[in-house]
Amino acid sequence: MALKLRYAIALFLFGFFLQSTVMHHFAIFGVSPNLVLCLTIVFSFLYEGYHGMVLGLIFGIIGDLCFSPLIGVSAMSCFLVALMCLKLKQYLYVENRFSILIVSSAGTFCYGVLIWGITTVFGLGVHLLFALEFYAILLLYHGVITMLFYHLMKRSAIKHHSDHYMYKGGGQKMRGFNLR
Amino acid sequence: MNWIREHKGTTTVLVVILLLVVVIVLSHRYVGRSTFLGQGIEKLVTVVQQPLSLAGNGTKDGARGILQFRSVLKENEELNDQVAELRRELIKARLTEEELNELRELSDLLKYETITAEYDPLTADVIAMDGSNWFNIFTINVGSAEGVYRDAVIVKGGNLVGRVLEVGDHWAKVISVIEETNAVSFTVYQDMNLLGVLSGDGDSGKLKGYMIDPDAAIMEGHILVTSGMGMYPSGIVIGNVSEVKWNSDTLLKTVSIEPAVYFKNLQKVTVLIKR
Repeated sequence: MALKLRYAIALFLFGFFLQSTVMHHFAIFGVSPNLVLCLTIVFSFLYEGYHGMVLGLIFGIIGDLCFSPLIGVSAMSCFLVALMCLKLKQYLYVENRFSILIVSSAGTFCYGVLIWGITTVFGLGVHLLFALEFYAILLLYHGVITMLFYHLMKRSAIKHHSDHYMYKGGGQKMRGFNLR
Repeated sequence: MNWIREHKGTTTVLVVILLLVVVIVLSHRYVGRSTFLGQGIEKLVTVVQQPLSLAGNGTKDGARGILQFRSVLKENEELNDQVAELRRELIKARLTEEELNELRELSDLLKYETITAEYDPLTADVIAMDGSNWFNIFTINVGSAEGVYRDAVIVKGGNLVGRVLEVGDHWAKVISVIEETNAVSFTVYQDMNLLGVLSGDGDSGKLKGYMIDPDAAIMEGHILVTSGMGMYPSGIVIGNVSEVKWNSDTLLKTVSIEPAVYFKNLQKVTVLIKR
């Protein structure tokens, strides 16, 4: 699948501003989702190209500039998570909704480990038990959000009559198909 | 060079990671000092965040009003009773006004300086936060144009919130006391001779600290205020002691502190601007 860059930028912008202004009203046990990370995961896993990786990196940097004493931590974490998602795409079936749950969980876990690891190295890390509790809730929350994004974004795919493999399923290798 | 040509993807990834490591190290070295580009980005982001944040808060308040109509009605009745009670107290308070004037004269005579005498309060709206957990680091809608400067103290209702980490024209990044890794000196309100040092505990939005005197008679429920040593002026309420423990390893009396400010929901804060 391919998605026009301007739509991707608009979605990331929307996600970033929503996250920094409104999402804390939707916190569960004090934890609100990281929309930029969710979008990075979904874009990297679902679409062809490197939009997820590049936009994750850019919006990670912007997030760090605005809300973190250390600049580059979220950016690096998003970048590496996107890289992992691209790799996972080779082993998981993109059309299967459970795949996105696996990718979301793996992505959130890696993000948490990276953030905790880097901040701890620089003496700004939180207690490990708190991080585990926090990311356990975030893992569940991100599962729901990424699933939602997955279904919303999948709808925008226009099926072509030549996309036979979409209906046959099985072990056929997934190839990219284009959007109008 | 051949390896780089053959492995363009890997090389790009490695270069990006290396650049990010350099950025992280530099930002750690020069914490709170962003570049011209960083300032520009933050300025731009703040312009969009401000109306969105106000709309979000307004919607939440409106929705709460609709959903909690019955409890609001009950609360209104209680508040009416409180108003009546406060009116009675006001009448009593007027009787002691003369006493207050005498105390003020005494205060001037002793040249006693309060926070309000040294600082001008400036109200600010919280327009953005990291959206992850507590209000550890957040952005307010006042900046250098309004007289805000780096390390300016932020309070809410006379209670300590934090300090300004970075400042732009019409925005400022605030680091809260629960995120603060720098030590904050405190004294006990009930006994100003007791001194201690606290910092954010990195989780659960609480504070932890220790008493300088291991025999200090500090108890749960004691109110802690800033001592005036360091960047925070004296007399600002930090919170209540929730737990006192003797640490046999460090031979220090450690305290857990419940902050006076509720860091899960901040909409308005006050910046103290030094005169």
